[in-house]
Amino acid sequence: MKLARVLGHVVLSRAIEPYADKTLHVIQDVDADLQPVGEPEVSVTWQAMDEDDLVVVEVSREACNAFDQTIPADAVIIGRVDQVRIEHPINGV
Amino acid sequence: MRVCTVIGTVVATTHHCALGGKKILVVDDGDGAAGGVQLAVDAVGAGTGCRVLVSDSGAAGSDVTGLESPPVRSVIVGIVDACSTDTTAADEGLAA
Repeated sequence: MKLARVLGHVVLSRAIEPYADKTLHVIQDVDADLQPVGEPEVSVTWQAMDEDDLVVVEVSREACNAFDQTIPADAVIIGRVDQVRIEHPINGV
Repeated sequence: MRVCTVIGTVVATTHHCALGGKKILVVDDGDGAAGGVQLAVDAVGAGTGCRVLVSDSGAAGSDVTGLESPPVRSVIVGIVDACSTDTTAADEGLAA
């Protein structure tokens, strides 16, 4: 799992059936200072988020288990973050 | 599985049912290649500063959530007291 920030959303004009009625967001990883790192990517979400929300994202084959019907996705937002506390900087920096 | 250090906590009151009642911790495996913050669901009562064993398997996710197929992969399955990579460098090789 990882921490990411919601940048926006994606609308599909046509998609396979498991994606019907699903919300997709553009997200970007954040570092220990909550600053963006890496490239933006697309994630399906179990619940619609707002732009700039900090979210918990599962990025693995288990992402397909987030819904009643299995969905062929490798990233899913599974939580909206209220608070983050990081007391020890990553890699001792 | 990875030996990581717990470096923080995340509170997410709005979450998927698989995370209900579960503690989400920020873990650092010392790799730092991706640069992003890595999270894991706690199954053992770990706290900040603990060295822990993180399992990245669907089976661990099932065990900690009680769901057959949860959308959870990274789970803290143990607190590391000591580990050694060989007989001469005890407890140093995997230090975070």
